[in-house]
Amino acid sequence: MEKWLIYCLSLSFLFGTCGQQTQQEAELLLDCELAERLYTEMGSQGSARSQHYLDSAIALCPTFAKGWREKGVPYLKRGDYATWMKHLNKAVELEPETYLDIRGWCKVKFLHDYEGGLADLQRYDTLIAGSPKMVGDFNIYTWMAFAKLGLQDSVAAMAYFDKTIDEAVAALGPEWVGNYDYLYRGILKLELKDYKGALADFDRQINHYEKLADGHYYKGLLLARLGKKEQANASLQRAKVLFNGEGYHAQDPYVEMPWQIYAEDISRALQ
Amino acid sequence: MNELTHLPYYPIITLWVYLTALAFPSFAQTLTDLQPRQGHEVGAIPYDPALDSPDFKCCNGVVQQYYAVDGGYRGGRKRLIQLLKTHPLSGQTLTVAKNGYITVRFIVNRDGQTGRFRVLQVDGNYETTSFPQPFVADIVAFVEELDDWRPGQHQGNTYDYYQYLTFKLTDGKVVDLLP
Repeated sequence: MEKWLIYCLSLSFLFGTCGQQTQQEAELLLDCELAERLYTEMGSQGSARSQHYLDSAIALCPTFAKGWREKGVPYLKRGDYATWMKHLNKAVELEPETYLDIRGWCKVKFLHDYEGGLADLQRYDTLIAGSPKMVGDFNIYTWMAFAKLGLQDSVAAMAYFDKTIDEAVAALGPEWVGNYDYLYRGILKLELKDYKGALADFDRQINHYEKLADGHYYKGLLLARLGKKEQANASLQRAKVLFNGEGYHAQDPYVEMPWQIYAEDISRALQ
Repeated sequence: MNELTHLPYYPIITLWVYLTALAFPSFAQTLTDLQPRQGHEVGAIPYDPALDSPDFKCCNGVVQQYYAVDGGYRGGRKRLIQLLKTHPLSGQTLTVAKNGYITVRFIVNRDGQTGRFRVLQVDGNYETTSFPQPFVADIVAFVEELDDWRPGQHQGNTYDYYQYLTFKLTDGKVVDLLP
């Protein structure tokens, strides 16, 4: 008799505990749904309202990684790195497979923290399978190349630029090579005095994206260095026309990108 | 302040503050963060009569962020780096070999003039810190002297805009300028 009593009491305790756990889970689910709704309705990035909404969302649902990340974004864009990092670190802690690449990319792009950014990107690369992996409008290997350039390791940078291009071609086909991939690799070859390789890449770049002024500009610089003045001038004139409205040039609203050109650069080259 | 004036060493403090202000006249306010205050957005810089010149015209309307307008320094970061290379700042090394970032945030008005300078400082681990005051004052002075900012343009309109420059330090020396 006592055995049955103990058995029944244990079952009651077990089901009671399970019942409590289910209720807690349900409350958490509701809180996280509310957090998601606050996120959707927070308004413009960086506004006081959006920050209040995100604070509430995170308070309701502390595992809301997307909220932690978004709260930090305007701080990075406006120069408060401590506040940004505090929030993004939390997002990375909660969901490394989602936010580690973002932290790495931002460290390289915004802060020129090449060692820290590279470490994040390399760790992310081991966590996630498949290719290509894109972050911040570029292949992850392009950012690794920029990091290596910042660390003054041209050999490693070149290897990453190669990987960016080779991976795109192998996975998706040559038309999927990024809009600036040949350009960046060509510029590095130019700096390393591989003029034949640089010229081939600039021609690939122009063939891939003729309206990008940068390809013509750097080809013009190279031709001038090789003593081919008329051809150099033609390339630089084409760069000028494209830069001044008929085409495009590599730029970013937040930072100066590596090897970015300005109107003054083209004018100086044409003198 | 009333409590402070009764302290015996209050005149000494006052004299020290006055001499510091004389020695470092361009020292902008150091902020610990850019959190929204009094309903303003992240990074807003309201007028502070203790710090800001009343002659700096701005902020009659929305103040944009630098990334939302076509503005910036003529010649870009590339030109700023060249200016920095020839400036005495680039030759200075702090006695404490510290890493970090010193950010000067300010406003560029519709005439391309600058004002409302504020400073943030973090170490290499992205924790708030303080670098030596005279050095920070030199950084601010460098930024204040820059005089070739483009007014912010967007869809045919001209705007005041928030801008910042960040000086990256490695081992106590300025090694880079962002963004």
